[in-house]
Amino acid sequence: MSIESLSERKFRFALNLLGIMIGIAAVTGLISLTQGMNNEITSQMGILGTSTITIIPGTQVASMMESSQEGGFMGPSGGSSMFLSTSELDWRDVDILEKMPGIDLIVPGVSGGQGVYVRKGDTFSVSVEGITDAYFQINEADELLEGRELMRSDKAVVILGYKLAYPFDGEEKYFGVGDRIKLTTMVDKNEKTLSLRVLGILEEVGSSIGPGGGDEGFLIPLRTYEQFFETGGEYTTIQVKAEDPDTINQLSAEIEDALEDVSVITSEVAMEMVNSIIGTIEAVLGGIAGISLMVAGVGIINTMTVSVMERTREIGVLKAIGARSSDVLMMFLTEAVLTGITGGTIGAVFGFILSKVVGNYVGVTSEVSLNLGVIALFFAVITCVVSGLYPAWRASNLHPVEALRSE
Amino acid sequence: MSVVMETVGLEKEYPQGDSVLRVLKGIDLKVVEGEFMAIMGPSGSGKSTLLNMLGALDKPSAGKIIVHGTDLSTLNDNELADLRSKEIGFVFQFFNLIPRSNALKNVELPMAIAGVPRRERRERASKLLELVGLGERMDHRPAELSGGEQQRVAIARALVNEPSVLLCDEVTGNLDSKTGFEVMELLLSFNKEQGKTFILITHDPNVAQMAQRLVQLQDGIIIGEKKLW
Ligand SMILES: Nc1ncnc2c1ncn2[C@@H]1O[C@H](COP(=O)(O)OP(=O)(O)O)[C@@H](O)[C@H]1O
Ligand SMILES: [Mg+2]
Repeated sequence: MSIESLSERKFRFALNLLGIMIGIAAVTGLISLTQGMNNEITSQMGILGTSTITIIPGTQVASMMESSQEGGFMGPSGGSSMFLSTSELDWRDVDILEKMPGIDLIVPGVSGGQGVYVRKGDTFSVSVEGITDAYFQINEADELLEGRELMRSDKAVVILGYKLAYPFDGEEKYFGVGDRIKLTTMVDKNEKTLSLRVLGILEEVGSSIGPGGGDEGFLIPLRTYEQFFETGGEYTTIQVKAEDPDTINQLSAEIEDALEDVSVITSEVAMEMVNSIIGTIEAVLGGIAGISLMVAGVGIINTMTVSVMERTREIGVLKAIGARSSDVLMMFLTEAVLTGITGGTIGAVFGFILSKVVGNYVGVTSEVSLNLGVIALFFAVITCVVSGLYPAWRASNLHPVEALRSE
Repeated sequence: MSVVMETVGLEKEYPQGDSVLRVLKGIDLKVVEGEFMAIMGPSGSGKSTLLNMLGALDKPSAGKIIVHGTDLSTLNDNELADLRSKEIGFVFQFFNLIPRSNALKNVELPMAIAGVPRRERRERASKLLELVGLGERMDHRPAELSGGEQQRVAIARALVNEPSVLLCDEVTGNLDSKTGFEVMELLLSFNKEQGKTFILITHDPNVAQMAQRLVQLQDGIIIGEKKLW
């Protein structure tokens, strides 16, 4: 019965459908985008490894992480103050670490160098990072596609991010092992140039963030970096690999005590921080999506109430030919459930497509999960049923004679 | 002959401002199985009110309604609905078909409510529509049918669950006299051939004359009755 009355009420049905569709599309689209973002960051964090500790100068990051662990990410210590650190890391810190027990590897690194290089007559800018030969032992996720890893004796060499060698995904090769690249930069208003031999090319990591500048950075020997950019011996990070992953929390506490004014980041803590940021984003987006579902629900209450009023006489007829009140209630609720299933399904599919399109545009691989689809569908049906409950109840409680007398 | 329906001291009043409007003032009526009864009376005399209560659509202010030996006051709302579904068929002045559904679907509706399987529904509905002369019009919607045809669909709908009693409220009131006569003939044929009990209300003497028994209602009381055949 209700399927039939549905097909005849296409317009009103379509209107309800649209409301639910938009709500559900918003929910699924936004959540699969943040989920994708989460995945991306998590995989970046995973590169750190479970036995790796990253030390950066300044205590601000550490205090921010503490506040994020307490739940309030946007604490007073948040914001950009973390970047205004006056403390620094240098060989003295490495010295202290070398004397500490339980440490397997110490990898100082320096990043933030900016330069330009010329390719086929065009000039491109690039981020440069200085690393030591132990870098690849600690950043195990960084694999070489071609060439070889850095050795202690290497000087004017460079390991390229994937995109620098293959800007169009392998279609055309711009640089190969053994090629020379001229890196130019400005230090204290003086132009400096350095000729680098390509030592290796990294495998694609699918991102331009993360250690080593991701797919679009230069990795050069630390000493070469220090001379070229005239850093004065400062490091931006020191990575430490613990001998035993189980001791990592204790070790990081010891490092924090031993080195003054530093923040110590383990993959676990970093993950918590990221989760808390993502959680905030999800809560905001979820709120927006929830509001759009609520608006859809109000729309359904409205159109179903109109529908009940229009069909008053019909409801009287139904009761006269033997329908129980519960039959009438079920008829209207079935209509609501169908609206929910249809709107929810189309909305979820639409949301997934939207998240793919938007994700493509902003460079995030959105996660399309069956789970999310099912949950979205569930919410669509719940919204429709809850909204339809009152109008349906009103319909089922109409007095048959009064309903039959109505125009 | 057994009594199908009986009213004892049936009263109905509606609140009207401070006082009450007494529509039915004590009706005692026995309807015998297989008879064709007409209730005649002027407009506003309480005919529809009486019929609705006989059909378990409304409840009396006082008195009793007994259907097949059961006092309706002992039944709850669901039991009353089931009684309407199985034992009673309503036909109305304004046909009251579902405008979006075709003739076949309209006739299937009471069976859907009663839980008859889909295949059987289709079969019984189309058979009945052929019987009322609409075999060729089953896929037409009410708007595509004439008044007489719509009333035939409504009659088929009322009969499809094989009730024992049909309650007809001014069923010719919206039809011209020739079409009205044809509809009456149809109802009489179901009375004669299938032994269905009919209670038909009308204010048209020509229609009332076709019944087996005629009951006169005025101002909420029965003022007389006579047997016509
Ligand atoms: N629900 C109601 N509330 C108030 N008055 C009603 C109601 N139903 C019927 N009436 C009144 O009862 C009287 C009888 O109505 P009805 O049974 O429909 O008469 P008939 O069918 O004989 O024309 C009319 O005066 C009508 O206005
Ligand atoms: Mg009437």
